[in-house]
Amino acid sequence: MTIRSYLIWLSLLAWLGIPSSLMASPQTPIGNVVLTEDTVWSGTITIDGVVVVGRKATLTITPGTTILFKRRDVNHDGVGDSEIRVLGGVIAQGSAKQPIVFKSAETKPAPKDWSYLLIFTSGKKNRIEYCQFHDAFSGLQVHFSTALVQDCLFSHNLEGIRFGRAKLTLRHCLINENHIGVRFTRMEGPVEIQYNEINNNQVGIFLVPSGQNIVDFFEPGRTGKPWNEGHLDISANNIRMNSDYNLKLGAKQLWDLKITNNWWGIVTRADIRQTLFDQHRDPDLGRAIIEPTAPQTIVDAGIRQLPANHHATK
Amino acid sequence: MTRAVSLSQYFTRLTLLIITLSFTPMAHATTIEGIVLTDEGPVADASVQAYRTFSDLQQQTNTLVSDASTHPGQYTIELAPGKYYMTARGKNQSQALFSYHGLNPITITDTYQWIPFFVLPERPAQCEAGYQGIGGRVLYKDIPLNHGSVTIYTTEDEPFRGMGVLTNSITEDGRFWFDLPPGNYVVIARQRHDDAAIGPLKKGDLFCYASANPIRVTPANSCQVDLLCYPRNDLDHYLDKNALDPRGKHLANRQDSSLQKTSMQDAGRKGGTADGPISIIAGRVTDLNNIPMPGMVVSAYPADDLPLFQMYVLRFKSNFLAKTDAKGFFRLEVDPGSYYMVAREKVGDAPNAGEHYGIYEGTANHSLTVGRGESKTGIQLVVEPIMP
Repeated sequence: MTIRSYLIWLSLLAWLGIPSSLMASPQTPIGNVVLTEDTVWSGTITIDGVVVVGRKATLTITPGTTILFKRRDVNHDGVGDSEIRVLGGVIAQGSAKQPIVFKSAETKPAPKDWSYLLIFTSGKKNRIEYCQFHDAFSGLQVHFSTALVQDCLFSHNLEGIRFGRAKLTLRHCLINENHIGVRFTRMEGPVEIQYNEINNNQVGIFLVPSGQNIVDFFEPGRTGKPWNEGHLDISANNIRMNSDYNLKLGAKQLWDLKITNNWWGIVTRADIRQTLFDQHRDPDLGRAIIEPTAPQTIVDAGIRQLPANHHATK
Repeated sequence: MTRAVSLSQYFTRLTLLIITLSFTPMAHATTIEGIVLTDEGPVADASVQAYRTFSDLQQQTNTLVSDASTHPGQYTIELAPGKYYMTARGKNQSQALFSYHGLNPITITDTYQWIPFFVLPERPAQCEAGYQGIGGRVLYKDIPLNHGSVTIYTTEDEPFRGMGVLTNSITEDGRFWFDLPPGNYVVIARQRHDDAAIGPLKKGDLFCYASANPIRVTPANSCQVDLLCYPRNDLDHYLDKNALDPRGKHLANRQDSSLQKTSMQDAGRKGGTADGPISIIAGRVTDLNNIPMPGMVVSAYPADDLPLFQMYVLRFKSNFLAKTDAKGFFRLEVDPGSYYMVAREKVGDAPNAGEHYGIYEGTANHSLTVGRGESKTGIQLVVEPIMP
């Protein structure tokens, strides 16, 4: 952050009546704190530990901000512990030219260096736009919350984005080079996943009941009843060139899921089926109902006005 | 008089009785009477069993059995004051009938009590190779329930109240499922008309106990079981239109001495034991504008073994629950330790849109620690409707 832009933001905050003390210092790592008031971040923020955005607070992240997460692993589970946990609200609106970047602070960054940006039981309408997530366990997790996620890049994470019960719109994002691109742990919604470019992950989209089913209060009965009717909309995406599967249903995902009008990178039905893991490969699973498929590439999919240097942000 | 169920047990008990009479004064026995009913009316030749422990019930040992009365379906049993797990059995033609009283263990005092039982067809658990766990249906008068909750308890969770190990919602078609590690489990469903997940059952609320309890889960085995329900303290609703009404002219007296007024601690365990004084966590739940929130459920989840906050912990069993009063205050008696604190509108289901929900924010991992005999007061939890 330049001195000039810092002073501009300082003036803006004063004009808005926001104390400058709530603006984090660019150099001071923060961690294991609860933000109890509205807070604005800009420049470079380094996180070492957990930052909680309290229920009465909203975290606003300005365009061009970089959030660095130091790797620490207190419980020795192989996943960096640093994270942002939002109970209140988060507004992270970058721009095509000035994306907001969340990534590892390590000199040799790697997936799982940090945990995630977690939006959990939030009562706000959260917005994540033109943000880039790298080196995380999951770049973004949304549970029991409402969020609009658009024009974001999820790359080089273990999981790009994971969500459970949520009111979620995920559109115009580029999700590539993760182990799992999109992981959804509840087959309910309303969830819209549209106009995304999901490619070159090991698994593009992974639909699986929660791995914590033993303590899951809401697993529906094993009735085979379609669970997503009118709730889960995965359409108009390019889901292609994912090395294991473009789409995979996880164990105990017994319900038929309608995932139509997507472009799978190939034309023939038999070839598309080769990129899917559903009842055709495991009779205990539900079916992925993919027809009709898009006849060609969805030209509007992916980040709008993708910054030319997005690979250089790593 | 009570009678033993087997000859060997009879002699064992006789020996114990002689020894006991030699050294202690004989305990005063209380006469307990009641009736055993199906929805068609009294069950002839029914019997009632009383057990000092659930383990005895489970193993059918040390069984105290009622004598038949001169009236159809009625029974009488003499019990020394104390707590008993009471069941009833009978037959309707060749169909075995069973009832586990919803207020078990029932406290017998030195006062006469009238204890009715609603018996239902026995339904064995069907276990076979498959997903490991327990599933099934919950039925009232053969119709699947479309709401309510099912709770799984271990056999160590006597008296099987509160949220147990796991609590699930019943699906719209009356079904439920639990993934479970191998073990023995007690399955109980409840349907409260106010849709609360905890608290005593009220008149007309349904109590549904699997006659196959406890159900044994073995590796890679799936068990299916039907839970049949009866309404708490609502004979009019339970009896079919053409059933023989057994109440007769002694109704008033029986109601006076029935269990209707028995209180039931159903909102979780209290901390503090013979090992030491209780520990207390107390405070207030408010909304974002500091307006007190009455009727919120405050739960304390053990956090001792977790250096970091983990979302899934909030789905585990919480032994310690309390509701906020009219001014939003709560008070929990807990064992000493660290706890994640949560306030929300209900328990037993995942958070949902519009529900008021909040987590303790005094620390970044949402936990607080309380020592033995210590009181942590002034704890504030802020809630708001989630998922707008």
